[in-house]
Amino acid sequence: MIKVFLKRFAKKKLSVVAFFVLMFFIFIALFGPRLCKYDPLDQDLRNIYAGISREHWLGTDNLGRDTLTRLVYGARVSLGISFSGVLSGCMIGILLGVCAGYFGKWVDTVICRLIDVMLAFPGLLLAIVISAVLGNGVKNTALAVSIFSVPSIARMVRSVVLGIKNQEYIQACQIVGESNSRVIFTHVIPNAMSQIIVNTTLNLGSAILTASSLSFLGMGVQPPDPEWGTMLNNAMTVIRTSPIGVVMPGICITLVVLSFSLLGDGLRDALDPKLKNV
Amino acid sequence: MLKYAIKRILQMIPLLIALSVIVFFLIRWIPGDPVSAMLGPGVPASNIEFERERLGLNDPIIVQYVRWVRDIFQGDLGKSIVSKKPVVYEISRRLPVTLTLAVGGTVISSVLGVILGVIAAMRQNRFLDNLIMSVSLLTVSMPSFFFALMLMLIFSVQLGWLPSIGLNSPAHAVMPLLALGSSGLGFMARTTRSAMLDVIRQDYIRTSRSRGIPEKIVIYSHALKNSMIPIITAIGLRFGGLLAGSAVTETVFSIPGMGKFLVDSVTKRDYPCLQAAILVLATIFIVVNTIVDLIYAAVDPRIRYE
Amino acid sequence: MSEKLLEVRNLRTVFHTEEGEMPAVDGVSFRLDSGEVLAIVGESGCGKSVTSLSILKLIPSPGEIVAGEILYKGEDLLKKNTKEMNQIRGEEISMIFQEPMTSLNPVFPIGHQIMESLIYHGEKDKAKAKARAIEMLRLVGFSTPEKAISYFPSQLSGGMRQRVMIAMALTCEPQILIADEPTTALDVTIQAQILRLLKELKEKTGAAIIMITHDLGIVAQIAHNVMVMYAGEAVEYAPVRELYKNPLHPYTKGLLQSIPKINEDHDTLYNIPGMVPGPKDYPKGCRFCPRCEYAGERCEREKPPYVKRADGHRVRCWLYEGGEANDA
Repeated sequence: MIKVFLKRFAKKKLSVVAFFVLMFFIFIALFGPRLCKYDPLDQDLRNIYAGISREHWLGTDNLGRDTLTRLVYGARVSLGISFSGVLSGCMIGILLGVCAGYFGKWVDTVICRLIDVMLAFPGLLLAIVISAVLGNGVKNTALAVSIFSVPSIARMVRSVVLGIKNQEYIQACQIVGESNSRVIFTHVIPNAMSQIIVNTTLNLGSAILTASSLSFLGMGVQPPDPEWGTMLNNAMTVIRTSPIGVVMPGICITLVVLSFSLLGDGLRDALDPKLKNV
Repeated sequence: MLKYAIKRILQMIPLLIALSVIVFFLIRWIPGDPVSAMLGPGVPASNIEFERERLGLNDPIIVQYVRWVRDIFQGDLGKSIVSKKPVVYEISRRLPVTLTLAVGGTVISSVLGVILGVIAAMRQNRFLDNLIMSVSLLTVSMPSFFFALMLMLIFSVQLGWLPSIGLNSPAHAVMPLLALGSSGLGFMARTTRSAMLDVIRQDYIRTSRSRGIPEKIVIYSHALKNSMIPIITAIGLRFGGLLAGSAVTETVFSIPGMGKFLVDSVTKRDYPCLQAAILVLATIFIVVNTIVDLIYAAVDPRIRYE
Repeated sequence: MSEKLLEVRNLRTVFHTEEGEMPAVDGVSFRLDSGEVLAIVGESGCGKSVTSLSILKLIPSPGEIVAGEILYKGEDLLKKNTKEMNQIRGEEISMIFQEPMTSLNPVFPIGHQIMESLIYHGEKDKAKAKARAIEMLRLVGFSTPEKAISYFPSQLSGGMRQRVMIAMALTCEPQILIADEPTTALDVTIQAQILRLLKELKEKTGAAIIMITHDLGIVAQIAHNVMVMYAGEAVEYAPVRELYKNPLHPYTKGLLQSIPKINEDHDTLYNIPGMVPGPKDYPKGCRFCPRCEYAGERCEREKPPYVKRADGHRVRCWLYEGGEANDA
């Protein structure tokens, strides 16, 4: 089983590359700060907008803070927000989706209306609304990402569960008299798992986009905390003289989001070749 | 069809009511007291209390809600705390800008995206397909503010071809439209490709070919029309995404539209404006989604006759 | 009665997969005369449908016709390009498919789909095309064809959709109609109606028919000649009466024995043990050998030739080596 999975996954070369890119970023997020010479918040006002040099590999920002150090700490913040937000959002989304799909009737109606209302706020607007209510900061941004990812996951899980529910073996379990929770945990969720894993991976990427967009707009992580979107915002005004402060965080975000997409695609092909490539 | 249309339009009503309730209560969830924010710092508590009474904020919540909805129907969305002008005036100045950009961005990304998606599907797994899909993936993975800033860096800073901020001439609109269109382009191309690949395997396409219908007609009429449902869904989603995404693009290019208005309202804690901006954007999105559903029914008889 | 209309020689159609070339049709030859009804029978997976799709060059990738000739009125279709093929498809040779539920385009009215066939085969006048579409729908049994032309497929039952398919296929008066399991997906009563309709229309238009089926009951009702296919090869060919009276190949015998008969009282129906092997599992010798009760040592080792006997009956089996039965 695992062997077949690995063999299929290994065929998608780009996905394998993406996996290692993500591993690299996760490594940086976990251990990078120990390798840094500078503190991400240390200002050096005599040395602002420094170019690339031996001391500052990627230069410094408007307060003389080392850009590379801030990128490394930013990885911790960005990935941390994304993982904690999406994983918690997924839990809630799976719970809602399974309940809606499995129990149907009024439970389904209530949950579907709830999802509809949340999705009536298109894309980033939902995140903006949530963060306007919750306020700024790292924790609230993670919470905003979490709530943001609930409706799409819930809707996906619901449709998967609806498909599984009507298959004979689930009906057989119900006839034999297995309890609902047992059927859900031993049959329904395991069968929906590959789709959940794939969607979660793809959501991790979009969560980084959302969080960094919020931060970029000044509604997410607040300065001086290093986050890629915040850094970009901070460097935007001096794009003419010091473009590297814009380019580097931008590349980091793009690379991570791209890798999550590629990884998600690869996982989809490896876990369930029947699923089509959307 | 008419019956379906009426049914679908009536379905909007509960959603709009839910939306209005959420937006109404939003202000009450937001940390901080709107009245003290309105009056500014250092105002004595007695004045705040007087102001609350005057604004009717001490009335039962349901009374406040009904009054608020009634005011909306009379075209009164309150006054901006910052500019002291009616919110309706502020929005009427900005909405056309954003709608123009969003419609433009949607049209660009839809037309190009669908064409590229069809080409990719026809050349499945060959060079052109791989190229289009790689570029698409890149554009959907790139944050739109980063893409916008890169455009600015290249076309106005380095090359000096285009003005970087404001929206005073058609040239000003080029980069915002590109920025708005790019992420949608990738999304549309990917959606179209997978929808086409799905349809092209269907039996009825084989039937069309077996009848000697020219391949161009088979692809661009028979197959594309069947792929329209996911494509139209994507266009609707994209339009909504661009409405909200205008927050980012307008911030980057300093364009006075709804998006920037929304962001400013949040950062300046201008509650009436924030409330109105959210309400307007979400309502437009709901209306667009309804239109999308009606287009489905026009395209696909199976929905019409259900 | 007959002049030669279509001749297939050594057709070989393969599917390129990760595990290599899979020959779905492996050296099949047959001929079809004008007005003839030829049935191609066999279990699913034996290459019947791929054969029929090959004739119109509608093999989807990763499939490819790699060898052989398909001579229609003396011209090799395999040498024609897509544009030339589109002149043949629908106009000279047309096809109806197994799945009426999915074979019609759901987003176009059925009248539009019939008219399209005419318009892309040279009918300039839309009104005439419409009149013809109405006529065809009446011919296949629609009682109000003027109304029916604006129906969408989703408004019709499976039987009605198959009638539309037949109308569509015959509207340009083709010389050859390929019917790929036209009744398999339908209810038994509808099956009989559709078969009767096909027979009637055949009388009226004089088209030759290639009938692909796994149902030997249908074959007896409609066909002149029968070709039995197994694992990508033709294993037996004979006029229909001859085949029923005197089946030679063990596979054909098995197929005939597995038809339920009302007047016989078997407790269990005969069935051929095992399944058709996939292209990658083809045995080295005779492909039917692992399932054959007469199989000998030679059958495992060597592939039997496709021999023609004196009466025109062809068979691929070591039991009939040299054109003579050495086992009766």
